[in-house]
Amino acid sequence: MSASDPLLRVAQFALAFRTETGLATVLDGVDLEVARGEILGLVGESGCGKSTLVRAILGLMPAGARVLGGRIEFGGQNLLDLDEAVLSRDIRAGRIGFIPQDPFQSFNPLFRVGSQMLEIMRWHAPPEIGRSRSAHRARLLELMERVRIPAPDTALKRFPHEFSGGQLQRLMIAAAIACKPDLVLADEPTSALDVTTQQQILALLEELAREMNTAVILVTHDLGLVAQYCDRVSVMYAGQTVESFSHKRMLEGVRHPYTRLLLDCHPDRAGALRGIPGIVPGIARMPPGCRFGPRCPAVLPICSTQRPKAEMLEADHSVQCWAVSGSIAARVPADA
Amino acid sequence: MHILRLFARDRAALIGLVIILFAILLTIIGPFIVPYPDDAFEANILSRLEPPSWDHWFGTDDFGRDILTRVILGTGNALGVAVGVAAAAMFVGVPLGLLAGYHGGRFGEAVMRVTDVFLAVPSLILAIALAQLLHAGIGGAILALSLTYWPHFCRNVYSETRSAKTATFVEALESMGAGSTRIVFMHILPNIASPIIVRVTVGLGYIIMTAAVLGFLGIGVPPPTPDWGAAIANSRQHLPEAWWLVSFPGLAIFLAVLGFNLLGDGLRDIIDPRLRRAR
Repeated sequence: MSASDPLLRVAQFALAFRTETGLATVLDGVDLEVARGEILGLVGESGCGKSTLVRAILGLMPAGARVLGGRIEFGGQNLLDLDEAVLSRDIRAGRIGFIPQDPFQSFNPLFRVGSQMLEIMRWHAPPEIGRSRSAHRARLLELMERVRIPAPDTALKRFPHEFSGGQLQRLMIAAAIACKPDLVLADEPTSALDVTTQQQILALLEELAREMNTAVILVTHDLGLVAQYCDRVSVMYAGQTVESFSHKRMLEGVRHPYTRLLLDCHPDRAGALRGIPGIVPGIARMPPGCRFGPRCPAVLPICSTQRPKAEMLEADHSVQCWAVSGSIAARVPADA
Repeated sequence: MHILRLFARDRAALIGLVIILFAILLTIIGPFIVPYPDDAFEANILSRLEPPSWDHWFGTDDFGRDILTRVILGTGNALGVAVGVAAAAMFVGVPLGLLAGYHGGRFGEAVMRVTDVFLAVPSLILAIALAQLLHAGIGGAILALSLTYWPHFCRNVYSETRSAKTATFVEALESMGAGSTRIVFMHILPNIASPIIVRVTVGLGYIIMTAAVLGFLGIGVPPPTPDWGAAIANSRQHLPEAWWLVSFPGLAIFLAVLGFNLLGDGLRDIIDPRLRRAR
């Protein structure tokens, strides 16, 4: 990966929602990088802003949302500068694909899946696929073969309710990559599916992404899945990216107390199922300083007053934590 | 086939359907089967206020005109007004409700407040005022009723759109770069079509009744065109002796409204399985 030229770079992105009590900051200084062909896991508890971030990348922000600052660069272009019409025409589906969470609800129940997928292609298919309906159909049939939908020909003519959840999610994957995007955003694509189907779907997504050199952002709260499929991981807490690291640091190298606790939540590692005490604070009641402070086992006095800065520990590892940067600061004079 | 079987099981809805089909049939073949086609417009003073008999099943009115003839000929008028008003109200209310519901924000608020204004004025009074301003006649009545009826549609469609909008497939379409017009009219509209259909069906009965009230007040179609409401208005001076003057047009209004209501209720049960009565 060339660090200077990532496919997607989210830098200090901050987003607020207008509420009755004023602006509430939902995303606060999010940093994220995805290289071409890389699979990034975006991890965090519910309510950390993962889905909001993914939608913001697509320019889909709810009414009343306001960008407070930062950039979302995609292919050298700041997506925040583009208006809705351009995003809709040039970016979505064509360059950034999206796989939603619940496959059962992701297709309009009233239309055949084929017509819905062809509709997307009609607007966004790149020139190399061709403009004609038959070319689009051929591409779809080929993709459905690839995502292992039996009898693609008749499957195109069926309605969403005639498929199982796993099949529908495979169709969603096919739809998301149909227009050959550079990046696919998968928002908890397997949460609604059972565990065996989950593995098949993610294995398929990984296989196709590697083959087409498509980058993927996989949103999940399952670190086990991340360990299996992702090249790099970004951990979010309460609207901030608190730690980013590459796959090889996953098991022993993580530094942020939140990431460690998340890893300990996995039953295979801890023996018994453990949780993290407390809950993610609501957007209107964010603590000052480090947002994880009140739940943190390694909390320091400074944590409740000042927000920690992002610190590069290695080329492939950055962390936002006073406890970690404090220990570095303590180490520096000794080294010097 | 499935729908027909459900209809057959729901006796009330079936009765409603039969009444409405019968009314439509009368509208089409009425002019050819009425016993006294000339009585639509011509007075016949010699036979005025005759009670029901074999010659005049429903009796005659104060101009000696056959009431059966005039009730049958009034059917088309009533249905025409109802369909015209429903169509016009839908033409305005449905797109506006869809767009307001989908886009929300200031535009949605503005649309809803406008409907509030229309709904705050009693619809009958607004219709009377408008009908007085406009030229009397069926066109004026339709316009007046449409203006008072579209907000009902608009609000109904608005709330349905609000809930349909949260469906994941709408988000999926947005994220795949489908245009908002396309999402609204090609994807959301078909999904909320059934409540709209139910609303229209029940609304048709309501419109027929309001139209009859306008006719009663002399604001509907000008005489001597047969009209149920106007016929009831004319009967007042001959009550209670000439009871047939009011009874038969009144019965026609009653049946038409009942028919649409039963049909609408039945359609609601059939279309929305969640509300389907267990039996």
